[in-house]
Amino acid sequence: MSSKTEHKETIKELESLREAPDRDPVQAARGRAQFLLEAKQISEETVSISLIQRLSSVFQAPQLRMSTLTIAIILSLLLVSFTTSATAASQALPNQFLYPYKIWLENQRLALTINPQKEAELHLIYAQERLAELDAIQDEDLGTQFDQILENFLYHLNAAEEIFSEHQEYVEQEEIINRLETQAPQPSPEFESESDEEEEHEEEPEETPEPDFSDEDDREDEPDYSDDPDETDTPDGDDSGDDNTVNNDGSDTDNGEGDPDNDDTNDDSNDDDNHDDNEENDDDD
Amino acid sequence: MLLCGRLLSSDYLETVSIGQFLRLNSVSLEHKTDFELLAEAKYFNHNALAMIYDRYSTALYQYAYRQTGSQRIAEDCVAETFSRFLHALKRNKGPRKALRPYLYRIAHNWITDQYRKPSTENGLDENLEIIKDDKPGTESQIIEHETAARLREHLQKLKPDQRQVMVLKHLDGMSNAEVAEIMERNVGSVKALNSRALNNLRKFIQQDEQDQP
Repeated sequence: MSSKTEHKETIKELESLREAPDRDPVQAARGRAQFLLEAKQISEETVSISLIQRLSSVFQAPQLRMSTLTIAIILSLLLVSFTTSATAASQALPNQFLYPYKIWLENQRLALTINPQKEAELHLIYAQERLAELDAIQDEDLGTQFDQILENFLYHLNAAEEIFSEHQEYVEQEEIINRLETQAPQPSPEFESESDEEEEHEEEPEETPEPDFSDEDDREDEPDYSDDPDETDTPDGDDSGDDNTVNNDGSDTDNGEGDPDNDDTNDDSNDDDNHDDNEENDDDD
Repeated sequence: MLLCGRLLSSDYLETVSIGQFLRLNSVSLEHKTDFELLAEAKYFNHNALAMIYDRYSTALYQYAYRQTGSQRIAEDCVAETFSRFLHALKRNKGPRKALRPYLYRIAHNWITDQYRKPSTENGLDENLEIIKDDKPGTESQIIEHETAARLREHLQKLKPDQRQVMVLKHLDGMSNAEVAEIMERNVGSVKALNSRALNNLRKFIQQDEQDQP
């Protein structure tokens, strides 16, 4: 038997399977309802996703694939629309759609203002604006919005006042400092080194005839100290005189055995003192 | 942001208008092509999905029944096929152009999976018993049922792609081109598969005849 006839026989046998019973109408209706219910559930789940997909597909579509020029045009359009909306919002009244946007813009502008003076000015402008708004729509029933506008007005007023008071304190402090600086005597450069010593004298009122040191007294004392600068060291010199005797005795041992760093400093500082003390000793002799 | 809002709103409005249009002109849906229905089904348009179901559920049921011989399994196949179709749409991975081949492929894969399962789980064997017990009639009818059940057994022994060609071409009566479209093959390949499947089926039938006393 050829393969063709075999195939025909097989196909004929297969055709016996063609008959299929009709669907059970109840089962079919149930299956349909189940399918549509599932579709509804899935569509509700994927609302947010499908929006993003639609948006992305819009931008990825070949006919809308964006060039640099397109992006530039879109950005410029955005800028224009933002400026237009901001201008329109600046004139919005409380019963209008753009009013919340206006308040938001005001807050953003305040947040971006650093200069306290300008910030206070803005607060005053916005407070005035609230009053103008209330004046413009006084005939209409605003309900709770009236309280909100009033609250906003008071907020701007208080904020401005607060900034002014803080700024005023700062200005007053500045003025006091400036006045003190202009009134205060200018110490001479030669006498700058003596200032510490004067403070020591001030701490010892017993030795001074007058406890209150006026500027004139200071000026009178100046020449005495400036004539003989060595005498400024005399109190220390007296104290160090005793030490120097010890130092002179132990200088050899210190230089030989001591810490090299400390020795250098000691040597430098003590050389002059020793020299002076030796001279004094010579005088004494 | 404003532009995005406008795009979204325009898209939304477009969808809404399509939905309204479809509700008002539901009769015209019947004349829509698969491609048009699919475009609306991607947005989970209720009417478009319902139309797709009405258009293909019966054909898929028959396709499944001819292979399995069980109404229950055929209904399960239809339900599962459309469920997978919905989930594919959800992932934006549904059919691009042709809807019918896509649905047949899903059904074919599902049936193949059922054959791969152990016989206790797939319920394909119980069908034969049901035919024997629940179909009382004349002797010739009983013999007819038995022959059909045996033929299905032989079909199950074929490779999945060979079995698919047999069912689509000889049971559903599709042309080689239609079978090729569904199986995503060229017509020559379908013809070759058909020839091999017929040879194998003939062998199984002859073997079965020899085994029977």
